Amino acid sequence: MAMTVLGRKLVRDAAGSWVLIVAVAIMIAVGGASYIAMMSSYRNLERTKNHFYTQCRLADFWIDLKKIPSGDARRLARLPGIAEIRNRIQFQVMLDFPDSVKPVGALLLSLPDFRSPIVNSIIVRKGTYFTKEQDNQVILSEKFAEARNIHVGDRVRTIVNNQRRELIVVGTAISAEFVYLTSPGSMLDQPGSYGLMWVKRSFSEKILGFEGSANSIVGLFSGLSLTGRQQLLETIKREVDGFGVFDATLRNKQFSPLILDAEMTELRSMALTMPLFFLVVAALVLNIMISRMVEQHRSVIGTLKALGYSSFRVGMHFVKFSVVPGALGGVLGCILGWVLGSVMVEMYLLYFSFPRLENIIYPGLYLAGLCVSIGSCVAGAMKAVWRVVRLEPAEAMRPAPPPVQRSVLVEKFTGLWQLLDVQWQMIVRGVLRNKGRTAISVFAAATGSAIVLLTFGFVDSLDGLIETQFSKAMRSDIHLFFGDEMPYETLDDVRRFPGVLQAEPVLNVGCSLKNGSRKESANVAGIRPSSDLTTLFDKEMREVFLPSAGLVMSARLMEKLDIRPGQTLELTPVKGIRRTVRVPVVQQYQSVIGMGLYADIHWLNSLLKNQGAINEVRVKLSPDEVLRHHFLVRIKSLPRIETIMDIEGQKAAMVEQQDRLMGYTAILMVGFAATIFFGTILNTSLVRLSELGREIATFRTLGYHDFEVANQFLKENLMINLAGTVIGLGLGYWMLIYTMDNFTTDAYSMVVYLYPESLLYTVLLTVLFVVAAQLVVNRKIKRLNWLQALGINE
Amino acid sequence: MADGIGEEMIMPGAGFKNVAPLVRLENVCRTFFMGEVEVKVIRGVDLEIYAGELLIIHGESGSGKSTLLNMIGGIDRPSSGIIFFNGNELTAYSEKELTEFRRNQVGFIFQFYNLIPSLTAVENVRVATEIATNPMDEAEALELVGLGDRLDYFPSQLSGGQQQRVAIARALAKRPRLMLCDEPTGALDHETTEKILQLLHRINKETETTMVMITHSSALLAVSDRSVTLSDGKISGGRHRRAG
Ligand SMILES: Nc1ncnc2c1ncn2[C@@H]1O[C@H](COP(=O)(O)OP(=O)(O)OP(=O)(O)O)[C@@H](O)[C@H]1O
Ligand SMILES: [Mg+2]
Repeated sequence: MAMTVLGRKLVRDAAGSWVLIVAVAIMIAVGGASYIAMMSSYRNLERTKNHFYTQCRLADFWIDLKKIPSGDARRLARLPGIAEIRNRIQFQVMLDFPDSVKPVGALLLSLPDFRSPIVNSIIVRKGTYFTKEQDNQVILSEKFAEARNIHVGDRVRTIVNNQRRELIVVGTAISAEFVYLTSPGSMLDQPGSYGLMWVKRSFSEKILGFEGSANSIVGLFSGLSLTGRQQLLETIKREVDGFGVFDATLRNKQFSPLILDAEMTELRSMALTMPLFFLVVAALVLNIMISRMVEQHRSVIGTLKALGYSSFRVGMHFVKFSVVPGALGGVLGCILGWVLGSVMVEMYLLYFSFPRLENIIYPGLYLAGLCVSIGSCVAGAMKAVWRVVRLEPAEAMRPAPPPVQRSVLVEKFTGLWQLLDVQWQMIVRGVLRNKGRTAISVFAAATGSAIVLLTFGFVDSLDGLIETQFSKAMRSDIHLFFGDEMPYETLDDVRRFPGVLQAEPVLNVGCSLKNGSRKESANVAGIRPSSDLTTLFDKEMREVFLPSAGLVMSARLMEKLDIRPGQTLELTPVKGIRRTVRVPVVQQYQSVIGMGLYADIHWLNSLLKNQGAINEVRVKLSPDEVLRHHFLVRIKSLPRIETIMDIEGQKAAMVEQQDRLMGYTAILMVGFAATIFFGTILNTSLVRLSELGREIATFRTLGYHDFEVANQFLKENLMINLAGTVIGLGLGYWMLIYTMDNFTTDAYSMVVYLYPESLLYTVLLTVLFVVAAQLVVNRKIKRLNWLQALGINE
Repeated sequence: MADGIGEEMIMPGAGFKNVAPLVRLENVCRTFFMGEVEVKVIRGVDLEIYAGELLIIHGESGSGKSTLLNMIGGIDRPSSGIIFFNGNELTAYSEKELTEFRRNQVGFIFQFYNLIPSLTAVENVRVATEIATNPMDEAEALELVGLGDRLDYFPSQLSGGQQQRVAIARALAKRPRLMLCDEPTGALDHETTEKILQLLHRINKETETTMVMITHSSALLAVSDRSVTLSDGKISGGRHRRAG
């Protein structure tokens, strides 16, 4: 089909204002790309998750107990609503690697000796499932094996139940139960220092003294609503109560599914909000651009209508013009979205274990991205176009009525007004007369700087989290967890190890808490009242002092239990004598990991009628490398140690994560914000330039240099954008609070930190963006044929 | 739709008054509102325009000549009064019918040419022919106005007189029944004015197109069929060269 003359005009006009079009297109592309990337990541994750969960037959519920005969566990299957029950053995174990001084731990899990279709099965990635040959075969989690460079056929040494065992690696595997794996009490996965070890059921029964019994029950429900499931779980708990239930969780509260779901929810809400900012700003900026264009084309519009073109056809011509940046941005967005999507897949594979995660192209999604891109442009143009197109042709052909030259309000304050030089007077008039445009520019600057501030705030918050968690709240280096309650003397044993500067006792008691109808399970950590190693803080970072009686509770848990400081609740320990007591909640503190509870160790011991028991020792080590080394070697031989928590390692992992991931994300986000600033400043400046053509020409004939004219634009842009940034700082802070709130789950609580420097950097970046965009504007001003601008004067 | 238009044979030449007029204005008024102020520009004009004639409208600047012409051409609507075109009530046309009318029946020529800057001469003509029902070839139209060798020039590459000739070709090319010229030579020098007016006169005679022209130039007065003067928003007499 041959192109119509108007089509040709469109192409030429578009080519003539390519800078503006590209500027808008890039904003659109960023919006479209972030939508496509995040939305397809969401779908990729969902697809993979569903597939993985089904393939591994992921359990609906988990019950941890002290010990239960397998027969009793199996009998649960008879309860109505339970489709399948499996009992197994799980233990925290330590591994011994000659090349690693740092403690390495693992969760040991039993699997049937012969492969069968069980609940929570595994997918073997390398090697094989167990064979008949040896008892001591082990299958390792894939990430762990890769990080520690362990291959099929290698042997690993573990300390299980105080005995050294050598295990033969027959394979590596992944499990839907542990898509996200961290060592207990840690926020981040550290693949090299914590892993999964699957061993034969027969072997685990033998080495752990669990012949014919188990300490973990997993199972599937048949149908049932959420409340039905909760009720049934309570029933099961009652059934097995005599065997010492520690914990009972439904799938949605289980750590790995919880983290994955939280990530996905966050991803989807981001996918639906973030692109909006870019698309809305792009639409508004396009509206400015098209308005100006239509204004300039007023007589062309009149002529076309006089020639017999219908209003619709003339309108469509300009609307089509807006399709150009929309389509260009949409296509760019699809490409960029695919690239970003692929990067996100790679990123998720770093943290999550999936059989495979691919960046699939969802045609519907890409099409939607394209349509939304074009749609937002058309929407932005529509109003501007219609305003002029509906005029009678005779009216359109007359020059637009001059804007009512009312003096702006400030001019009334003559004293003040006289203080401004002519250029500033022009700026102030321009800004106040074009209220709509000024508002859009301010809005764009606010959005851009809000995104920058949000990014900085995110980095700050992670930084603050690391800082408070590891430098202020927890000043210990190593936490030693014991499998059983130990006498107080154990503390003295630890203190005698080389390199120990300080060692403090902790008693952890798993409890179920009940306030009215609300129930939660949590761990109460009993610590020394004036601990040197552990300090609690409230939301405002004020120190919280441990009361001599009663609990200090994390904000999240208080919310869940609907309880306020000063009230009491029912507490039942899950281990030992499970006597229910009423205890007061004295204070609130801000926890980072989990929904913590603290109490005075002496009070806790007396509550449990214990004689000074401990089950954890927190240690501060000497900075001396040699002494540390000795300490780490020696503690491995300490009896009854179940886990060693390497706080330093955690901190290092956090810092690395911060540098690695947040670095790129921050650069990307600031880059995205830059497109908003650039697109808006370029467009408004160039539009203003074409409006002010005659004024500029006049200034030039009066002997002003081009840079003096340019300065006026710089001043105007700085004024508008700094005003926008001030709003943006508020908006960004609000978005930061909202985002952090979204990231807060039962597993982690995020606190907002924002360093004052970040505010300053945001403002400086705004200035930088304005100045950079100004360089393009300057070039335009230099090239401006101002003599012609004067000549056009009809 | 402007049905029936163009089917009736219009007799050219003398004795215009004996046939039904192509255009008839009955008590046409036009009032503009500028904020609070009401400006009555046309205050009851009765006028008949005959097929094939060349009618000249005189009047002082600001007397409302352009306003009147715009209403005749269907690019503006009267505040009151009726305009008939070829027996059809133009003033009752819908937006769509009016567009159709402009597309096929009227050719406009403006003082400032109103060419589209990003289109070449031939493309500027094509803008009109592309939507007309029975147009001329664009090159032929440009040939007629003596621009056969400037087809691919952009308006900025043409002189004022040449640009106006492109505009004339644009109006001509769709073979309109009615050609409306609003000071077509207003922006041109004396010599070029002569040439353009001669060209328009030639077109009027050779194509038998009805032509209404606003001009201050006396060059055409001698050859025009009729001239009327607009003052105080009313037609105040005129000279009828051939009538009666
Ligand atoms: N759209 C409009 N809004 C307000 N007033 C208008 C409008 N169009 C025309 N006028 C007014 O109507 C009057 C007549 O205008 P018009 O352009 O018809 O005059 P003219 O006779 O063509 O003058 P000239 O010879 O200078 O072209 C003028 O006073 C003008 O200000
Ligand atoms: Mg006029």
